[in-house]
Amino acid sequence: MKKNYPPKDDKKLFESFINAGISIDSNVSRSLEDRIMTDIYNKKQIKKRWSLDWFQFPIRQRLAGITAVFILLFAGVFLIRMSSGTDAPFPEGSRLVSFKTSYPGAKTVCLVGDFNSWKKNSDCLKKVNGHWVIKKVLKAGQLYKYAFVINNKRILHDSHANQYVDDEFGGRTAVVFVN
Amino acid sequence: MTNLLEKNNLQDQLIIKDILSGKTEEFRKIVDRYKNMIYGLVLKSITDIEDAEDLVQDIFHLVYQNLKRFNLEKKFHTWLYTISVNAIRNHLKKKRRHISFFHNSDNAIDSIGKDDNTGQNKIFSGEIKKNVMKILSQMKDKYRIVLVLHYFEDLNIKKIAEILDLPDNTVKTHLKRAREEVLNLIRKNPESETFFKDFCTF
Repeated sequence: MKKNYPPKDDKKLFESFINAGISIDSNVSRSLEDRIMTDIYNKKQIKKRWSLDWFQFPIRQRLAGITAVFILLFAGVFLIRMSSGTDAPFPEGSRLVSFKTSYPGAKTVCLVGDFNSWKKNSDCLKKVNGHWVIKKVLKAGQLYKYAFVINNKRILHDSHANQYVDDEFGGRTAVVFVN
Repeated sequence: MTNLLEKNNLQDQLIIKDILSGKTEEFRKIVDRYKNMIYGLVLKSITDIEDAEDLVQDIFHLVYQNLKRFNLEKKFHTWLYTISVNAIRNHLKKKRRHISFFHNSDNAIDSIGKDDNTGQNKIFSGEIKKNVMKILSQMKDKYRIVLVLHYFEDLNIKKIAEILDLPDNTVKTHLKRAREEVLNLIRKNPESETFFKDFCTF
């Protein structure tokens, strides 16, 4: 089968265009050379040209860079969210107080005390590594009485509390003083 | 020819080593060696005489800033082309975004030959530039860049593929389409057709 070569006229016309292009004078003025060198000496940062720098890389490298940035962003957001769950900012003059206990057979453990008007289900603890834990923001400089409610029925005092005070019924209640 | 290129590459390497060791003035040698090559490439690729010098300046600045990243075992010539072509592509992208609002490319092309009015030869060279730029400016960017690199910069398919980070076959296809586009554009415009037919016999 014969190949389709471009018509002779087309070939000549195209060659003529190329020859004309080659003959264009592209000599740079001396002033440009000086401008470039002055620029280099002054070590100016190229204004708004950061993207030019970026586009010098091949597309594959650019894609790899974008992927890496996204992974870092997601990791950053994830870490921030994780940390905000435990150390969320709280009002001035308050402290974050951790309550921790272990009742292995319990289905639910809730915290009651002066800070929540002894309401049974307002502050329930989470089970983490076999321990029940909760963090509460409490106003500093005050003493709070507290206890745990097990399975929504039994009220038990904290056997590992730092301090206790007498309750009004001849027993004792755990207290925490927030510095 | 190959020996000459090898020799030039060795000289480039020596100059680069000097620059990296703190002799900034040596960069003038790089500018001197490649300024016309880069200017020609830029001018024909962006077809805008006003922006060409600024872009050449930016390219050399980029080259200086990134010189420490250059692998001395590779050819400086190719690396320089890669940086230049990417800068050109970026410039064209930006220009495309603004062109419909601010720029009338026909006026820019029309003004090309008008400075060259001090003698018959200069008028003629102005006319050549004007006619070539008119065709180039109407081409698709991707075809124009391949055409300029192959025909005006005399680079082979393999080298162009390396510079543009494209497969060889894609470069060949772009080149074929570029040739077709040039001919279509010349045929569409009787003035250009007459000019290039006359230039052929000149």
